[in-house]
Amino acid sequence: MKNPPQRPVPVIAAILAFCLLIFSGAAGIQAASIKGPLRIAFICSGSVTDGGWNQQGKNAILVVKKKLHAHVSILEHISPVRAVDVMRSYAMRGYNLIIGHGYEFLIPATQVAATARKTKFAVSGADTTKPGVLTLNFDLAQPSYELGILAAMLSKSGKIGFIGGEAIPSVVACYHGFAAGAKSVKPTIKVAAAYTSWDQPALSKSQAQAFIQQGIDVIYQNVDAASRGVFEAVAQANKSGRGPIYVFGSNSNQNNNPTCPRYTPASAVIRLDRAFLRVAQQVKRGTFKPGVAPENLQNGVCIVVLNPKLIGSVITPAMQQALARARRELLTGKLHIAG
Amino acid sequence: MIKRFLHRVWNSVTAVALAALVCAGVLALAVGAGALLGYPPIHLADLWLRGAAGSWYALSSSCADACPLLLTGLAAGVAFRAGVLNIGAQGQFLLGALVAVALSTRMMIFHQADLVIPTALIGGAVAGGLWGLVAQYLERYRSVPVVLSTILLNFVALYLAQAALQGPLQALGTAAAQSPEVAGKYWLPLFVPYTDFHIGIILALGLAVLLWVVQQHTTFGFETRVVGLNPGTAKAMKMPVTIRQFQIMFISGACAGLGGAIQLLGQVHFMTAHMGNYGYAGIAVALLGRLNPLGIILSALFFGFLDTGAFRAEESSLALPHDMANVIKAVVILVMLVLAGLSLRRARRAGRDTPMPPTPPTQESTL
Repeated sequence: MKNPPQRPVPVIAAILAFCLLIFSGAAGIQAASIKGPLRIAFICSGSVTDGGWNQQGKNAILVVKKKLHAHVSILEHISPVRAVDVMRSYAMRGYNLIIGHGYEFLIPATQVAATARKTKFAVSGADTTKPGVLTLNFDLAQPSYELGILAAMLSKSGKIGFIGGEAIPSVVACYHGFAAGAKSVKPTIKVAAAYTSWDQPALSKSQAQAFIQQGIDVIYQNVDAASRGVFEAVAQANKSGRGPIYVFGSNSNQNNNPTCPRYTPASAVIRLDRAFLRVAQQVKRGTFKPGVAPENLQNGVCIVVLNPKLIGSVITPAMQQALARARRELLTGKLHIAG
Repeated sequence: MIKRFLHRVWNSVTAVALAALVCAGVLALAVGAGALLGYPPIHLADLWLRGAAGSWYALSSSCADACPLLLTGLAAGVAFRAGVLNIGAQGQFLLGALVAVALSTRMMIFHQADLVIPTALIGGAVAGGLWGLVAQYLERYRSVPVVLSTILLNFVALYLAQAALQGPLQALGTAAAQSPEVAGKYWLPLFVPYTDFHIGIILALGLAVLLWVVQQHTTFGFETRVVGLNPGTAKAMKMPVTIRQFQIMFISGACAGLGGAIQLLGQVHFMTAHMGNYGYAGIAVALLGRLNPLGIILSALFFGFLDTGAFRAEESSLALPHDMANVIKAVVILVMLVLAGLSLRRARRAGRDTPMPPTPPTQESTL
């Protein structure tokens, strides 16, 4: 007994044939002229509203847009799988500069750079380079050292903590810088470390609460979009009278976060706008060169930003002097932090 | 006889008419959605269509995107048709890519492309297949439902990949959790230069046709379909139900694993743990293709075209937001599913109305 025939295949085949019939008349993607304002494409792997790394990148590229009157195209949620296709498409349409925001774009950028001679490629957050690509290597270990000094001077319990999003070397380097800075002030200080997640505030919150339970009274977090959880834990602890508990921001200036600005004395900041602007200007002037660009305290991209509202009350002149001294030593090369 | 022939012709004509209506509806939907969102609708539709198929490069890009979807769609389709609810194509895809990257960057056999490429593809497929068998074993001998174990094994595969990419498979000189780039000589060859048309696309199409032939025209295919429809009946008919389920799970996992290997050697050429959600998307592809391997080819192409067009609309001067593009894509897919469902009901009704000659049950019965 034959069952009733199923006919999805002819239906879908006909649909596709019809679509192709319509599409076939369309012309190819035209390569646009390079004349006029700089054309920049910014590609990131997450959402530009994540409140962290990607949003910071978007804000930075908008600064470049404003300052150079450039045409900027922003594309979010691009996985490495899609990156080659997207970058090639931009290059074919005459974009002058393509910025891949994250190490995962390094190999795709290299693949496209091999054939797209007129377009320049920069990748932020990678630590190595490939032919035809400029890598922006951010070193937060130096600002982390300064934060360590501040933490040791703020802590009353002699216990401080670090929460990272992932135990990758660039984040672990922050911990090492932080611990080294703290021990330079108080050699007996205890520095705890934990790694949770970049995008799960609940995880980072419970970790911060565990730290506070252990008596830790200064927390340095580098968890990107999950930082909200740490701020909440600190705000709640201070509200319940356990405090004062302080927290440091990272990557962007988180001193004015809406949850606990009164307990956020400082942030280790990557000034992406400065780095992107410099690269865009190089492209415009024709001085762009592939390679690794160390972005650090020396060129003013990775710095500590103090919370101006807490200077004088929480941040004492002695602390400021200690920070200034450490910064001088770092800038002159007297002090070296392994990144 | 003539009546049946005329009936088939009528069915085909109505199918084409329905398809034309669907396409018109899809276009109208995209245009309408664009208008609602405040984007020039005609311009948006034009960008979307040109981006998906407006040039050889765009066409190749759409087909290359459809390739992994076709293989994970086949993985889901073949398994579902046999009643094995394999939701683990994502993990099997990742494992396939992981083994392929290991074989093409760390254990290159004699450094010969003729050997490395097939070894990596076969290795990826076998890895995906074996990963699928773990779930089937757990169901058969430990009473863990396949749905549950395959979902959980997806996470295990993800973390395994992360561990490998931060360990033995990590690229030298970087702190990033990613593999080294596969050497150019081990990339899948292109059959149209300067495009994304790599031979993996042909392999995937060939595999889909092969699976259709096996499913429709062999005893094995017949038995797997009976097992899928009613394992009790299959047992009563003395069919090796357990063996067929294990075999199908291996084939399903191998399809997804091959998808990962092809994606790695044909398109991406390096690996991170974020290789796209092709495994989960494959389920939607399989359902739209009605679990029929030929239908899955068309369904995967449809998804590939839709996806690539969306990216072109996002990166265009219109700057269509990613979330809006996703909303439009989702609505279009939903409409397609509804219309495909309606057409199926119509076909069934038509089938009931057609007088069938009394024939004994054979292996050619459509199940």
